[in-house]
Amino acid sequence: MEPDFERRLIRSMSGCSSLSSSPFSSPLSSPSSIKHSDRFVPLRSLAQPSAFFIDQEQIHKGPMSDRRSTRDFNSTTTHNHHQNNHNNSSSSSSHSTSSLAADRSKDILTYQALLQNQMFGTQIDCLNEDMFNYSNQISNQHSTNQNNQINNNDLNINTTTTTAAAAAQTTMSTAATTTINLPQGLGGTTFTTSHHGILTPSSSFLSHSSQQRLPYTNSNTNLLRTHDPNTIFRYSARRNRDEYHYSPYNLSPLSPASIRLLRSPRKQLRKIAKTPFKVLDAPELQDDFYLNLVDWSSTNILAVGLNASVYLWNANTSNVTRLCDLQTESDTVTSVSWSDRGQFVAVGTHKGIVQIWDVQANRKTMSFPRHTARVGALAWNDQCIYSGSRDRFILQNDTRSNKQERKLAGHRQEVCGLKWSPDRQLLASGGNDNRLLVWNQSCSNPIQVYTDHTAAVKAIAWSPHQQGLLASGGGTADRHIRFWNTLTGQNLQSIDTGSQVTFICILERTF
Amino acid sequence: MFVSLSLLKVCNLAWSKHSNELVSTHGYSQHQIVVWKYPSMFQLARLTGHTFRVLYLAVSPDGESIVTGAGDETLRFWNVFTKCRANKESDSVLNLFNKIR
Repeated sequence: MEPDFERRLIRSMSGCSSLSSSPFSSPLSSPSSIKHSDRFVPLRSLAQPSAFFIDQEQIHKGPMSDRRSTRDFNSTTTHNHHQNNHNNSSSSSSHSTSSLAADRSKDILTYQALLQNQMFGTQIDCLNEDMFNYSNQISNQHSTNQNNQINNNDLNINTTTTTAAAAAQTTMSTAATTTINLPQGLGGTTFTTSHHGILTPSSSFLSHSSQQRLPYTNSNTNLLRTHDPNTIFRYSARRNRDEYHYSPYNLSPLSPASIRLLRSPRKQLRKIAKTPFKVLDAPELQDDFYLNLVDWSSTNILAVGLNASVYLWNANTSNVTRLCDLQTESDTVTSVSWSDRGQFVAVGTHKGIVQIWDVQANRKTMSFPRHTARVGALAWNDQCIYSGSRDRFILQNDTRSNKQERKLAGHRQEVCGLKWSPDRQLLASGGNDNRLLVWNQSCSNPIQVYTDHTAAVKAIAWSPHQQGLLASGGGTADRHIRFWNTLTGQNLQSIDTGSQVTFICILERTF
Repeated sequence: MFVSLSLLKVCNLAWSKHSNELVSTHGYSQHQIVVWKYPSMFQLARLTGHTFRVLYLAVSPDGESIVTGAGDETLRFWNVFTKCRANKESDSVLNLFNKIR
């Protein structure tokens, strides 16, 4: 052992040296001058509950002006110090709200939720904006309560009974607002946090914080769902979503909800306007799930089928023109679709006719009366128009030759969704028979059949970013958006636990 | 992978052209439009306004806005997607290409 080292060690053990000269001390030394032993854990201000609660008070004051002074109290904080500090600074609470402060308060909200998870066993796993607003509102309310309470605290710092009573009073007053302002969360189920059954610590700042228990929503309520009725007789290793984030071998002391909470994006990436920037009247726009009456072309023209007519709204000039009127044929429009270049509009009708309209010339160029029931879905592929109908068939017609190319039979009920992949190689079709079929260019049989949906599949969308990734959504009884990898033919959900890694790889490849 | 929408009927779906995001429109029981981030399926926004189920959806050619139609006989235009993603270069020393002049 080096003599110098030995000397320092002895000095530090006898306690006569300052902490910074201890051989084992971290370069990040504590701001306090308290003597520690040679084992030193660097102070992380927010990781300590005491620090947390002081910051909790800071949030009511708004700006972080006197953070440093509060931080210095951390090591030696007693209740009295805390209260004094609190009273001094509450008079100087200014109202400037910087983004830093907002950021900070969001952090604190997260810590609050985390503590609540760990101490009270709640399951907050997402912080949404409503919650943030709620906490702001409560803190505003709290600050007004605080002013009333300050006098009490001045007089009765050490008598906890009156402060507890005051806290109880404010709890009662906030309880009313708690029930009103509960945000409707992601899961749809909202839990109220009850203030009554919990032992409140007697010191007043603890009771403040418990009074602000967050209303929370659990995004994972689908775990409580019963199994799909159609999987009763089928073996499937059904995983819950939780396992992506939490495994039984996890050694973390945090609960799964807390882990999810910490892994959720820290702040909202961008603001999305909550109001439409334009609203157009569309009289007689039909309320029928199986129709596709709105399409936007690559030339920035919106085609809308209104009862018997198709109207074109030019998004550049806001001009409205009427493309066609089927009133004379006593027919109604059931679907519209633009060709890729925006030259033609395909119009499907209730009688089962597919008409091709030239927009420039404003005239009908083609008509394919080959369906026997209404045409609810249309999809272009270059010069070919694919139409899905209530007669259960998908027909391929070529706009150049006026002859039928293919007849795709696979659905047992009405075809209501039809989409070509961005590379124009695969056609996805959804039907009222709850089936999602994938076709290719040549084969007349579906190359893939997905039967996981439990309601009509109308919503179909191919990812433009990842080849073969298909999203589909079902109707009333289904309520799920499902994702499929059509290259491998796998449902990204129903892969059993053994191949969980593959699943994650697939997802990560999108980044 | 599937996402429970808690009693929502999915009427239409569309991907953003520029970012890995997804917009879905819903009918019963809430007539709303939801913007999702894929693959985390984090809800970026929920847009309400339609009084009927939101049946029709189209994305503008520039990929920035969407139009939705519903049985309440209105077409609503929303600015949902952004074209340029916020491409913030970090000032980290580990980012080699920042340091080359």
